[in-house]
Amino acid sequence: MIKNLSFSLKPGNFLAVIGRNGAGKTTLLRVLSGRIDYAGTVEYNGISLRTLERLEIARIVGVVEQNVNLVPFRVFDVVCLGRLPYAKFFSWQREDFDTVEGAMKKVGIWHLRNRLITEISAGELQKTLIAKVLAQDAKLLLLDEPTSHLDLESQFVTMEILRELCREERTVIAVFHDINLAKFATHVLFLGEKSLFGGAEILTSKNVSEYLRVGAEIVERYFQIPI
Amino acid sequence: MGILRKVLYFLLLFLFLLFSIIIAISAGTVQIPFWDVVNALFGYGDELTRTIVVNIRAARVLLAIATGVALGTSGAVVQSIFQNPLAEPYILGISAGSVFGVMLSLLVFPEIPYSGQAFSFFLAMLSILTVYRIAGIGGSIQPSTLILAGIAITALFSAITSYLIYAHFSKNIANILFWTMGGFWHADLFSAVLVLFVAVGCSAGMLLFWKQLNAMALGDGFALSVGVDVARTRFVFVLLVSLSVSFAVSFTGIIGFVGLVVPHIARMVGGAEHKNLLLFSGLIGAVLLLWADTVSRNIIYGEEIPVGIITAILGVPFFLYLLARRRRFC
Repeated sequence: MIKNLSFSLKPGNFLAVIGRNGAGKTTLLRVLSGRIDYAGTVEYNGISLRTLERLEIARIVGVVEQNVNLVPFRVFDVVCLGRLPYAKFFSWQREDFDTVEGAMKKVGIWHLRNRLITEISAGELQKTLIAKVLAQDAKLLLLDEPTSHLDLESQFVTMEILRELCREERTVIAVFHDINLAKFATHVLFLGEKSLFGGAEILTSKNVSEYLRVGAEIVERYFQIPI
Repeated sequence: MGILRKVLYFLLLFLFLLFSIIIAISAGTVQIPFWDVVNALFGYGDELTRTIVVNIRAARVLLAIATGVALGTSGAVVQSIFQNPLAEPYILGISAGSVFGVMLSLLVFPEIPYSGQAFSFFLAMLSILTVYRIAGIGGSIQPSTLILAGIAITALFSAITSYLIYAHFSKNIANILFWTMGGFWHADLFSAVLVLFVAVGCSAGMLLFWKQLNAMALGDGFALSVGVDVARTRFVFVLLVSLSVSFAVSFTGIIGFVGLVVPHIARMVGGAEHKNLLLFSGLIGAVLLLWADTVSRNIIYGEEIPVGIITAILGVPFFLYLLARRRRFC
């Protein structure tokens, strides 16, 4: 149950959602993608989410799923499914393939196109799913713990891709358990009984210990990341 | 990696199906030479041969093919929409409902032609809709709830059927047993064409939504994220599956394991992607059931054993093999 929460983001913003288990982080993402009922309003460019069809939502909001069944599909075929909200014909069209190719190249998985998703690493699967959202041309990306199964390198690559997407005027909302990664974001939302929304500057030791109930000290630069 | 190779496989399989049709027609208590079959199919040759070839054997072959198409494509769809590689079309209570329907018609209208088929079809559809209704109580339909509801309804219908056999059919039990194991012995040209028409129609309907199937196979969440209305789409697929399988089964009886095994063979040949998977599943189902039927009526001279026995003997080892490597969904 999330109460008294109100915030707005602009294109290019990257929001990190932080909170304890059960604070409603996943619920918030579900509300934003129109999957569960809610009281209140969610608007995209002034259009209420409630008035939109599923396919219309899918053209605006792209969810990077964390759990997909490992069916032996080719990476390319999975990314193609991002074009489903735009599909008018039985087969994919030339422009669908072009968009898919562009998305895969941007994420750096074009060389994996003919591999099966059962054969690639967790980091590569993550990139595949991000490429799918790009093929979808989503303006708002929602990610639920996007780095949870990834090794350190893949975590940073993922974060870098997300920052890059923000630079091209997309909005990213991601749930993080690792507050180190929240430092990549432009905005932070602490979710709890009383929520706190603000710029990256609210990621302070005081707030972290209040909302996560752990004594943590925010060190200025935790990682020396070559970007 | 290739589209060309897949097209080649498909063409080869199709040619093999055509060849199998002629072999299947020529084999039987009366052996008919290969070219006599071909001639008779094109309307040449003597009257007797033509009658055997077209009215008896071709009808049977056609029914086997139609049932193979229905079970093959439906199996592929069911495995994807329930995200369970061990699912099969009967999982929703089709088999138990249809056996119960046949019993009922034997009890109530034993003389009316096609009443068995009609009862079987409607009770199979009824049991699926009941299963769907039960699974939907208290919120959204989860694949696992649906499967459990199917098991429950199947158990209920089986119990009633067992009682009916015990109380009313103890004298001609062999007849009914034969029916529960499936076979094409009372095929006629009209019903064969009808079943083929429904099976191909429903399969084409499924093929139309191949993209949605791909998305749903990856999970409900994934499908929702690309705008698929999962609940409604799943229901459409369940309707198509029920329609084609209930219809086929009402003419042939319960032929097991085809709907389970065929999609897996098809995945090995043509990949998991549904545009290919459905085509290959239909074709492989047709070939497999055609050969199973040919074996079932030729293995013992002058006698016929239920085709379900043949498919089970072929299917069970394969099923166990799948169980052993189930983690890979392939």
